[in-house]
Amino acid sequence: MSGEKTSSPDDLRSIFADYIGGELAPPKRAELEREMQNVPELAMEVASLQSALHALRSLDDGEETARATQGHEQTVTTSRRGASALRYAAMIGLAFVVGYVLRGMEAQPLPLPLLDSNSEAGRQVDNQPASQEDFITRLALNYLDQAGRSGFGRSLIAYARTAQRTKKKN
Amino acid sequence: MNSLVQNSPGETYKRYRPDVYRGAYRLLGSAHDALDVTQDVFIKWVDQCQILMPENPRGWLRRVTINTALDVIRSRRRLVHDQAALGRSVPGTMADAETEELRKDIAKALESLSDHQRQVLMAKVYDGETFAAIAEELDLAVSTVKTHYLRALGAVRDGLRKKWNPER
Repeated sequence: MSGEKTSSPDDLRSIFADYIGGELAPPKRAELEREMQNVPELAMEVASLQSALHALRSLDDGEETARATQGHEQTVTTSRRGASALRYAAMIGLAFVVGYVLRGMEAQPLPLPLLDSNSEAGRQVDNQPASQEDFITRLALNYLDQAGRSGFGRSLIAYARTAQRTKKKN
Repeated sequence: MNSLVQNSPGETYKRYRPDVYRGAYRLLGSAHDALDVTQDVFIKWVDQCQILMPENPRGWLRRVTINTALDVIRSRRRLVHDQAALGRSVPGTMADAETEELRKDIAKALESLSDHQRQVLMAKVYDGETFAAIAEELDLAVSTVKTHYLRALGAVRDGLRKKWNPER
């Protein structure tokens, strides 16, 4: 008996976590399975935890989740596409209105003022070299054109605007 | 500049969007809700980046995705409760009622867990991360991560057992 190794509760917890989590080395795994044959309560406890694990994993079996790996835009439904088309049409309309207001001005890159509903007509636009903000703005405009992404596009624009304001203040 | 672009909100969105969507869909079982949660999560990400860029985007996004999806589940529950109080029925969105029921029960069990327990469980079960990797990501000891894992799994089991096997 003196030659037997005793395991602390922490050791046992670690072994069970490794076993259920699939991280226990094969020899130790086999040893634990042999032990469990002698202690049915232990085997039942492990089996019940494994069934919970199985239930959790079963949520990941759906067709939709498989589609998600290829890009969730495929799951956008017709109604969402319809709403997106309306937003797209509204954007084009807005661009025409702003273009009319800004007619006669010198041609300049105008991504931020164009989409700023609070901007004053004729406002001077920064003509600075490409920066991270410009990159984000371009990205935002790109997302705005795509179905199901307008919320994020708007937030990117908000981000770019804040960054520009901070830069101006400095 | 390269690292700035790599860590920019746009790049993070492109890289982690499928993970966030999948995580949300898993809990919600609805493509529409999962898309809404994905957008909400990345809006929060942009807001967070304006304050402080998280060191571990994947871990941050996982945590916020779970919490946002659980918020949606809570609001759904309130809606069902309100509609029931008015004597109306809420039309179901799921084809498989049993899966939907299981999803609800798992979500309820997840709500009872601590933030760390939830993150450990999701990272291990769905992202297939090792205990060591999760420990590093969450800045915890490996033994603590293992304890969180077993407790979280036990809570899910107990939650499901009450519902599916009430005599025990």
